[in-house]
Amino acid sequence: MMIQRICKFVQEHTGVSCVILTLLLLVSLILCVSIGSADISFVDVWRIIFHQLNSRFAIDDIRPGVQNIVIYLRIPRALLGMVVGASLAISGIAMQAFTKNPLSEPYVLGVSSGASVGAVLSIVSGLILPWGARLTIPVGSFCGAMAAIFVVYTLSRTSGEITPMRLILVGVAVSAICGAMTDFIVYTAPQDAQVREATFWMLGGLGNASWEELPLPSLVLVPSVIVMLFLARSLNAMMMGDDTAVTLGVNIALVRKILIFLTALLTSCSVMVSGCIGFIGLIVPHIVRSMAGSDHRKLIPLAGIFGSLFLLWADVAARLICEPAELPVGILTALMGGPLFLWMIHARKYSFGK
Amino acid sequence: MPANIPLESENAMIQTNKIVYSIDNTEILSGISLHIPKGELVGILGPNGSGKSTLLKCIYRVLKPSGGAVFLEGRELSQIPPRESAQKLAVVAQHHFSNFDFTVEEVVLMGRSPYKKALEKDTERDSAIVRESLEKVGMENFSKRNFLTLSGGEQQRVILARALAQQTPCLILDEPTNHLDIKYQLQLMDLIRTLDQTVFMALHDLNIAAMYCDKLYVVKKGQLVGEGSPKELLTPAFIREVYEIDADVMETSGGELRVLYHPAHRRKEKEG
Repeated sequence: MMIQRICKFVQEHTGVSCVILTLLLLVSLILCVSIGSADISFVDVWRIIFHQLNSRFAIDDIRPGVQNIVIYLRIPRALLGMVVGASLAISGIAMQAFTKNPLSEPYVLGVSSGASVGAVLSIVSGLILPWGARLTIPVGSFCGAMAAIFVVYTLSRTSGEITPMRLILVGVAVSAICGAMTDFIVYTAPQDAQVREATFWMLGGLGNASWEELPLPSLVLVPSVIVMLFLARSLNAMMMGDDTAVTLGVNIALVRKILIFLTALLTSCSVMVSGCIGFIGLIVPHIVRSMAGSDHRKLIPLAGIFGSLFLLWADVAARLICEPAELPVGILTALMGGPLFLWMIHARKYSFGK
Repeated sequence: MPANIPLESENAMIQTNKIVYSIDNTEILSGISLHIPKGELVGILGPNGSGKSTLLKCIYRVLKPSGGAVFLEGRELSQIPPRESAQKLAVVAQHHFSNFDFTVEEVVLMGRSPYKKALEKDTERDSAIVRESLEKVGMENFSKRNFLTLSGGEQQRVILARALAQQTPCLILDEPTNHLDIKYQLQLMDLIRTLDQTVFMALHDLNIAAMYCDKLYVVKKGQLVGEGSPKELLTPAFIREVYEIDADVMETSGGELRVLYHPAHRRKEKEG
């Protein structure tokens, strides 16, 4: 009953819900920063943040070690979790609109692993782009993601239509190939190459978060969400089939290109900073759709905020479950997302093979 | 090329000029020219696989003809931006398939999207149009229902409501009576008859075509094989030629045509 009421409220007052969820997100952010193997009180976290904003605010009683944990480890980690969570949720929506299949998701269809091959290759090869060394890895990762999408899209199309079964099968294969390639490169890489451990790329985690990693994914996320909102009506029409979308005046060819580009961009930025965190693009849109329906004008903002909340708390769980050791958060999202994926297939709500 | 082909008349809503459509060197349509006058209800008949749907798809822009041209109100279709043609041409296609949950209301509201700028909100007027359209097809009590949970016939009527909400001067329907029981077939055709839109529709049922259409085209194997009013066109000999079946054509006291089919086993009994 309670859940139904919440769903109804979210559907009818999406704007208000977004504001409430954003406030919840902010509170969660502070809470998540204070939770961890070194317990830091909620109040202290606020004080440290205020001190950063205004140095007259004294925090001399808080040990410098604690201050450093908050400022250099936990806050960037939480922020990165939010950005990556939102990016993956939005790219899930873009892929689902593009393939008209609710099971599509960057991790499931191999786009994430494509991005990690690109990233790992650009690190190991030691290539440096002439016009910006800092962009070498992002560009490599983006190319990997684009290549994966291209292969999946081309091979799953039969006579102009993407059949769901082919899509998933091709996605599985591409994902396996790219995963193996990443592992191969990481394991055979010379020690001094700056490749982080293989588990980082394959399982994904936020353990390497730092302030330097934040700007690029954030700068990609914001315009992507805006573009997606601009496309919202077209995406709705596309969900009823490409033919319908055409008759409703959607420039399908253009929208498809934009969606591919955005998916590759969002996924590659997320993979670059956090490896392959799977299933968020499946879980979050699925939950939001079951609450607010499929209208993209509601779905996109809600899924963005939900994605942030989801990964933020999943990461807290990953840090706490086997304290003081840390689980890669990708394990948790896969543990939740895999069964959901199976259930969605089992429920046959989604017409397969036809 | 197409630009210098003279238009037959000013009053054409849709005109096609020798449309060719081929896949892998097989011609599905071989040079079809149509003329759909404004305000008329024009039907297109033909056996399965004759190219009816392909022809319609060329007109509603899902397929791009390999040759020839389509004109909408005298303008070549490929020169018109998709949004603009969607304000002139609404379509009820044959298959409705979606994996996603939309309410009936949301589906019909999509009919308003050709008039909307990005980020523009739905207005009171849009909701009123949606309501009216649903009332016209008798689905007003279903507005909050999930589209996916409806029966084929109900979905068909919702899609028609969406096309009506588009408020276009022209409507294209691909076998709209397909999933409907006889009551709704007649109801739908009666509704279509009362619209002051130009209508071009593919039909299977010769009786429905005879009862409602002003003009008929008949295609077979990608060729246009007949054109004219139902009375001119629907003769036993012609039906035999196109569909390879025997039928009688009768006229009721009210002057309406009725096509009566002879099943093959009866024919054999008679002959035997």
